[in-house]
Amino acid sequence: MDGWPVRMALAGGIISVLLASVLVPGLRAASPQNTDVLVQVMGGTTELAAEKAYRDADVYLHAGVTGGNLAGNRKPGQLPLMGLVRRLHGETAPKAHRHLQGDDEKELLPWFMVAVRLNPRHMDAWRDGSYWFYRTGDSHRAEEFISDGVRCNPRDYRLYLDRGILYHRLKKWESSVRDLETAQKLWKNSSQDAPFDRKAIRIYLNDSRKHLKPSHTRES
Amino acid sequence: MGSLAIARLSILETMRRKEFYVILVLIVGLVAWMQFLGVGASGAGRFAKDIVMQVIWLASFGLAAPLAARQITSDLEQKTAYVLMSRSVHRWQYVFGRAMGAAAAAVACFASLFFVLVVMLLVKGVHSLADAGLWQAFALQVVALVMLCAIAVFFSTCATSAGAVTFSLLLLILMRYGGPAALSRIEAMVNQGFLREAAWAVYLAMPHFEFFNITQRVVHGWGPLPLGLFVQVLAYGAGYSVFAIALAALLFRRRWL
Repeated sequence: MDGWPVRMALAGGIISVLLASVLVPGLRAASPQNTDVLVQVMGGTTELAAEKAYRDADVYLHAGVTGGNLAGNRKPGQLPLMGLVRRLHGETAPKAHRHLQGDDEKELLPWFMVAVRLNPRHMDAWRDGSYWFYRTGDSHRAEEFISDGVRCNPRDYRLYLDRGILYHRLKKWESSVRDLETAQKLWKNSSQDAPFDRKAIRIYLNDSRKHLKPSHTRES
Repeated sequence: MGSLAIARLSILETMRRKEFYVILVLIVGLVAWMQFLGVGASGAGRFAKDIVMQVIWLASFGLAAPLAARQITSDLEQKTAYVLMSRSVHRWQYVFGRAMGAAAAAVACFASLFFVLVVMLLVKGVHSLADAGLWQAFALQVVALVMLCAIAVFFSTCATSAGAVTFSLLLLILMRYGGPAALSRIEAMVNQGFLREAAWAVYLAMPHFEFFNITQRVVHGWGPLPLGLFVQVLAYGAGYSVFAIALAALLFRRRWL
């Protein structure tokens, strides 16, 4: 029993930090966008962890194969045992090119959820996550997911564009037009993809308007 | 016989400590959380299996290194080592017994944690219990734990227990996660004659924990390792452990007590 006071003190310290990070406004202000306990405690490292989670989704898509594994087919040099070591590396980690298919594609989704929980400004995670929800047949979750992204990042045109495209796919023309018009208003030439996004906004917006005009049907 | 009695003593000491039980409760909690919360994955359970396996692997390493590192140092601090060696136990028997005891205790802890994973897979209804890769991963992790314990015991004969834990965990992390990158780096060192050979010699001398990590193979259903290769890796781990313990015994024999 002699070690218990130290352990209790340690546990008390950890609980205090957790509670303080949630309750004290000064600490919470360190990451105002996110009130998640995990984010508050981990601080800036959450962005790195979010990026790792996002990349893990890609590793999962390729059934556990990373870029490094694929590049591992070089000819062994003249150094002794190099061929054997390389073979051992190649065999212990999967290396062939393979994609998850069918129901297995759903295994990517938790990684996107983890990534956006750790970093709500991770646009690629919001966008790709929404796409994969849709692709795996859960369009309701896809809509919810990208809408959460819009709530966290209301000034980013890319999320409106993706939600507009999603509504277009779901034939919700009115919502599609509304989101694509917002995307058009918020569009900024801030990245390499921005000009392509602008073209996408125009194409989808025109198409959605075409579908909307003739029937004048209201969405339920 | 002396080594076996010392090993038994190490296991009993470990079971009296509370770290293992705390980790066991945390892992059961993690499994329950993943089971009940549902994280949007498919029935294949790759995500849950991956996370739980990685956590169990790391937790078992985290338990094993301090366990092995404090075997000899705490005996010396509490003067138990003198009592044991006064009873006609050779120093090499003592070192071997302590290393084997630490390894056996670490493997017992790991087996209990692995049991949680097995239960989780059974509850999930995943048919991966029939996957030979899962049991290969288990065997490889057992040998990796023995290797880590041997290395920690080796360091504990010439450093404090804190130093031994630090050095052994550093080697583990460096090789398990940086091993393939280091190999690519050495391969890229063309036209650097002697430097390349020296780097290669250092690389070969390192404990290659990365060979024992087949988690991605198991999680993504790539099938078990070819039998010949599996045996080679096991033999490598066993050989490296024996070498590290022999070196530790040699250092301890020359140590002035």
